[in-house]
Amino acid sequence: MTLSTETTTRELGIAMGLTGAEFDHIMAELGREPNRVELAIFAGMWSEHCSYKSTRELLSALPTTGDRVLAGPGAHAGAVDVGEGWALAFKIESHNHPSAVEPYQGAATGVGGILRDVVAQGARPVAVMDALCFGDPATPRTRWLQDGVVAGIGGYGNSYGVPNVGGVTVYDQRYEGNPLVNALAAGLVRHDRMRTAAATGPGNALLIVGATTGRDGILGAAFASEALGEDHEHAARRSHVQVGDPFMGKKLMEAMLSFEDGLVACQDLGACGIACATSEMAAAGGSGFDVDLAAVPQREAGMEPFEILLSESQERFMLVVERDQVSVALAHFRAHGVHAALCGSVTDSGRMRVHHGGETIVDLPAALVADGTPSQAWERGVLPTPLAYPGFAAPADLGAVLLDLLATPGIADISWLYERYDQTVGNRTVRGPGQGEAAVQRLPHSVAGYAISLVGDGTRCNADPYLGPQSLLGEAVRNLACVGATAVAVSDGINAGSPSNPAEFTRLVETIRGLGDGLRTLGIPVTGGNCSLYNESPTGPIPPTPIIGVVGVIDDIATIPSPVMTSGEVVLLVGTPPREPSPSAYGRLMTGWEGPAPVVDLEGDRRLADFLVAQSATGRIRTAKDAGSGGLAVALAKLAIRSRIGVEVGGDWNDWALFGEGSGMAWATATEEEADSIVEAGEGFGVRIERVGTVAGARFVIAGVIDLSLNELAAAYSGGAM
Amino acid sequence: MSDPRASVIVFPGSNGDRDLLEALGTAGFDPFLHPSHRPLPDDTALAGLPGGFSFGDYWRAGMLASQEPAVRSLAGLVDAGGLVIGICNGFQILVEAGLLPGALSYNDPAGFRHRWVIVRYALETNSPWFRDIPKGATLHLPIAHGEGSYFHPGGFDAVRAQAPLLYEENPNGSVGDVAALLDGTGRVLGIMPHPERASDPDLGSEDGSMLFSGARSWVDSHSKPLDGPPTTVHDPNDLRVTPSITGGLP
Repeated sequence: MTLSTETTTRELGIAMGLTGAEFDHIMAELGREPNRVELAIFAGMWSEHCSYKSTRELLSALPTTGDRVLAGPGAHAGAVDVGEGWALAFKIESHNHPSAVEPYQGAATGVGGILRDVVAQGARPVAVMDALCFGDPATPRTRWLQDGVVAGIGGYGNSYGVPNVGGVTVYDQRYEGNPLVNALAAGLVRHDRMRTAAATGPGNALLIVGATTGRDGILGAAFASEALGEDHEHAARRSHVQVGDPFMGKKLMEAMLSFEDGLVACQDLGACGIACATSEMAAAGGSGFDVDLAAVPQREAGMEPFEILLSESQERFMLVVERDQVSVALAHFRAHGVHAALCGSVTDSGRMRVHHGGETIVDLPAALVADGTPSQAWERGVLPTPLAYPGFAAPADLGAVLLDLLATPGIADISWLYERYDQTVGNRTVRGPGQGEAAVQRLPHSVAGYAISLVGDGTRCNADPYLGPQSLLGEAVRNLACVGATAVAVSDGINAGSPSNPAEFTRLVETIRGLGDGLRTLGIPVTGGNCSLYNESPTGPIPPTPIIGVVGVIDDIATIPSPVMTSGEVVLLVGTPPREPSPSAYGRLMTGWEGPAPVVDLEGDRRLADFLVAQSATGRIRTAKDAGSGGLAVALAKLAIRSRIGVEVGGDWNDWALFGEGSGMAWATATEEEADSIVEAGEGFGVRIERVGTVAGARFVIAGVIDLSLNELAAAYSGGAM
Repeated sequence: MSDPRASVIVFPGSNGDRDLLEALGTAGFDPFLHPSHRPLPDDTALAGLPGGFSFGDYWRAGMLASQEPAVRSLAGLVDAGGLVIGICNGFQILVEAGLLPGALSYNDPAGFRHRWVIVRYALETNSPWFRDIPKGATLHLPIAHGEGSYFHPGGFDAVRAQAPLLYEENPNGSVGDVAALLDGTGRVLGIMPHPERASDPDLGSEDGSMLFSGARSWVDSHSKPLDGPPTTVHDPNDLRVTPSITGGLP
């Protein structure tokens, strides 16, 4: 065996993105200098993007166990039992940096990448959701980014044939230089057909299937692990962005899901490509690989070994297959119209050995590459002080405030955006975008279903990074309850600035701590997710922005609340409106004021959710909508607009009661016959609920403070869209 | 007598194949997935071309698919008295294959659009597809396409007598609000909205199921029994099964 004689230096390692300490650690572990190819592998695999070296200790404190958890963090995608033998595999991933420089392909490959995680778990993709954060919606740059991102998400998902069932879109100046594109994908798989990445069985064959390997996306992981530069530098970064091919992705998905006999393990090829898949599969199985690079189908001639190893070409998987099934496997994949090649075998060496042109060019302990990154400690700093409440008098015309809020980007109608996505392919979508507080789908040939709420926000977390994620969790739990679903598991996507900035690192620490404490209060585990750091541009860091996807279960979709109210229903107010200033769209509209900490009462949210779910199960709740951005008034106005019917509500309202934001508040409607019994049932759940009005007519009236026509509301809501 | 066989033609990039399979099964057909690279089996009573992106459709939608053996064998099926439905991408393929007149082009306004729309049944026809639908009825169906703008060089007048469904609010710039088209026999239907996704009230609408039930009852009253070999049984809990979709690459 010969290793490349080319030597390398500590300086080269540092130039590739490793720290000096990491290089020294590699030297100590190997007992020799890594060659250039090996160094490039370490630079990629030990990047923040692949190794989570700054966050894995923080994330390890999150609760991950529960009765319904079938696969947790570390699996391709987390998976929970959603009933009748089905598991829902789901996960969030970010594609922020690629989308900033090449929005169409950045977003398209973000969707493609997270779909492959779900397929690797053995699941058929059934839903995509997206969380997008942009800067000022009025600037040409935001329009360019948004048009590209939306077209990319649609272009990939529509062709692949997975419905987009909802999400969240945020507009805030602080994302101007560094937009966020996070996607959640979910798929269904029988419990006993989930797949693993653990490569076992020396002598078993290593196959690469799907698209050919080209020069796209090389060093993408390293690109994702540093702050973004100035706009004019973006052009040079486009070669780091991968290019998606949903047609190939679709064929590959069908081929993967229908291949079973002799399959030992599989992994999708994402960041760091073959280098990542082989080292991680070997590390997971306590085995090793001998890889023949020349056998990998290549898109162009003359690729360097490090390019083949680190290419992030899309639409590829690696499989470990029992030796006697190799020819069957190759024939299977080729019959589905995708490339397939035998490119190596499993060994018991524990080492990742790569051969090329008769030489052994890589010989590394797989576990060192995959899991050996030393944790990186960062200095903590002082949290920014929340802005003091500036104080302002309530405007005389609160109806005008409601119209302004309905037209605010982030609250205003974005049905134009969701129309770019197929929402119903697959025949499972019970509630799609704009049809409910959370997406609802039905299990195959069943009355049972599941719901997914995707929420995200930087404002509340900016004001208080500990309470912000808890506020989001409460919102998601309420959203699910409004479609009759009980929350059972979470996938989290943390987006933050550079950990080298002590204040930003502290906000990251607090965000994860807040999320963990919130999850423990609610008794819901995390089954996986994503952590994206270095979200900074020359204009500064983004606010800490957790994107949280929560899955809920529904026993009978026939009983869940309707999307629309009908005339004669009784309006019920659940919970107690706030009377004091709170961080809110209202506060921002009036003065730009964001802080202080959000008002969070997760116990209250849980009581509200338990109550709504129990009442929904009896079919007595006609509609339900919780208060989110814009508070109770905006929630009821949106429900009225969607239902094309007016409401008349009594009670004692001031501006903060109407527009303040916090926990434990929702609207519900019921028939006159059922309303009293629902109110009585509230007591048993510790939920305050009262009859406050009726559904009728074409005006939106809140006694003494707001009296507007439905047309005025609808015009503000849709006119505020871009 | 066994249920009539319905071939759902699966192109490599089809993604509505399972939805159509299910809708046809519910209507009382014996449906199966059939790979596009083979001619249709002789016992096919109905062929369905599902939605999707047949060959990626990076070029004109449906153009490549129209050359597939299964599509080339459709004319024979029609001559023998069989039924054909092409939904969305399937409609595009039928037009590209010359089984229906005109062309489907980029939406106006441009871009992919998903929306629940109302279409009106506006034709006096004996078409098997519409025997369960009263004249003047409106159907609530979803659309999901980027190239659904129907065009005919002779304008709407040239196809008025073949256009059974018209959009109440035109979402894509189609001439004469055309949402669907029949051939001269009335047995070949191309439809841009998705009736197979509107075959269940829990999923928003069951208006689309009337097309399939009409076709089913027509087969009973008009064609001789078509018996074939036993069908592949589809386990409803098996989300993996698909036919291999090419003849194998070199």
